[in-house]
Amino acid sequence: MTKSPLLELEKVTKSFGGLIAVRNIDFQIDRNEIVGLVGPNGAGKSTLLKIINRFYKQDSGSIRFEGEDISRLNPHEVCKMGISGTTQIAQAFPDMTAIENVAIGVLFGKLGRTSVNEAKKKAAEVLRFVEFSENKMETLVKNLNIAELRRVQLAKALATNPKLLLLDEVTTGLGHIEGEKAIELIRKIRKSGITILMVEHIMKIIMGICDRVIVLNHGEKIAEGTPEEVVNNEAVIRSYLGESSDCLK
Amino acid sequence: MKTISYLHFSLKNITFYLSFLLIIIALVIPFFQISLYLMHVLILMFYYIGYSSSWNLLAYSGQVSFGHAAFLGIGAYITTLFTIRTSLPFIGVLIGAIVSAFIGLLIGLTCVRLREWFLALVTFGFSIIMIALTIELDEFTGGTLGLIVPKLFPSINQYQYYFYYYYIMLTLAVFLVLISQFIIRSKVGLAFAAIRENELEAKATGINVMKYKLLAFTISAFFTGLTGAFYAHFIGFINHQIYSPENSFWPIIINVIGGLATIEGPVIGSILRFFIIEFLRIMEPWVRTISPGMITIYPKMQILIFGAILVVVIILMPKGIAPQLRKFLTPKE
Repeated sequence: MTKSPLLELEKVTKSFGGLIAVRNIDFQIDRNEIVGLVGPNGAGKSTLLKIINRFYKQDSGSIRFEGEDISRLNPHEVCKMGISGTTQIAQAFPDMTAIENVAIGVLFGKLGRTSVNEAKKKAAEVLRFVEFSENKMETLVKNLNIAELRRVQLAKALATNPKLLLLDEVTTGLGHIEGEKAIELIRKIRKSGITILMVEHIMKIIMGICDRVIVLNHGEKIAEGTPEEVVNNEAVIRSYLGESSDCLK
Repeated sequence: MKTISYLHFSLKNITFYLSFLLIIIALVIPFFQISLYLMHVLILMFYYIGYSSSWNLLAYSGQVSFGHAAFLGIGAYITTLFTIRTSLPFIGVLIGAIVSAFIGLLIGLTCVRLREWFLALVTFGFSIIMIALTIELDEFTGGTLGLIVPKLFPSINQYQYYFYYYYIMLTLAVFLVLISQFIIRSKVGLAFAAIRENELEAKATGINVMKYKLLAFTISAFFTGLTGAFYAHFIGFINHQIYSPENSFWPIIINVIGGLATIEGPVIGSILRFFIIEFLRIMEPWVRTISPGMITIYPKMQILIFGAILVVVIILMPKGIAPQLRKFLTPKE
């Protein structure tokens, strides 16, 4: 008996008014993979993530998670099934402490039934896992810097105990060193058994971390393969990478 | 690790001792042979603490009601109608609260997708509908003439009734503050806070936003109905004016001044309201002496002064007095 892929998209289309954001997208993600989603601005990458975590409803097509159709579910329902993620603009609950932010993930995610105190203990563990500063755990999130906020956001997503983590430009706003640390963290997360689908505009990150890359352009999938295959793909070079792709080879 | 988040109410916190002291003072006051009038206004102060705490629970989930007098009135009318027919006031109070919660759930269903001003307007509209309904259904409600509300329990005289009622309303106020604290510190409270802070992020973190918003409406309406029912049995008379906009605005004014979505806010706001109103009452003879003409507009001064305080608080302390007071009282490390 073959195991079904973790995530499966079939002919997914979404439009906003007259603009087709994604068109007939098909792909699969297997367990414990890191898959990169790349493409120029407006290619539909973030839209696709929002369709997977159910913030947007697709116009047509189907989405299956562990073989189960999730096309009609709501964001909180897919979160409980094991899909969680971070957004392009770091979001959190600003007037709550870092530990409370993450505890909410523990309380309402896949783990579910646990007391507030237990959830806070678990939240502290997750914050330590993402290497968040120990002495800032009780700091209100609105008083954190962008790198700390990104870690809280990541910890909050991890606290829901996901099987699939959707990362939308997780290095945006981070400096070089913080960006490197974020990449190390993504590797560490994968080692813990979590599958990752990440949108990233920095090709070097994609090349260094992803097992497989899917390229979108104008809402359509134009290529899929290993990072090496993708950077050598004619269509990808023409529409996205341009001549600068030479430096990635 | 020694830091205090705003969700904590640690025993070591000075706020706790201050609250304890306030309760002790409140418990002994009636033994000092205070006047019937003072007893009356203190009971009303406890009523406002209870009412504002109930309203605050809804605000804690990020939903603002401009028509909470509707739930207050439903609780009051249901207990009155029930007690008139059965002479079982305590059961009437409970049924009033339950019916109010049920109506709150229904209103919540229509409001759950609305935000800010739209939500405020729908809730306000509902309280206006209740005025019209009460006047139209005069066969049951007594119309504009209202209804005499039976006493909650028999008493030898009014002083004795007030004496016992003082403790009933004090218990209700303390209970509602404590239950608010319990809810806010629970899983449900964290969901309410998350929804208030960032609704989309709350959904992404696995919170069923619709369910918790409805729960906030239902809980808030239940406790508002309960407070309204006890209020009716104390005042002894109700008519359509219980649904008045003024009655809906008081918990908003009290909470904004005291501290919106905080435990202490309703207590601070209600105590402040009590002192301002009493101050104005004490000043009345003086105003009468220096400017007899002023006395006709004097009753309106209350709302004028509260309006002025509201403006000052919003400008100087946008989050109300409680967060400032907490900052002041929290021991520095």
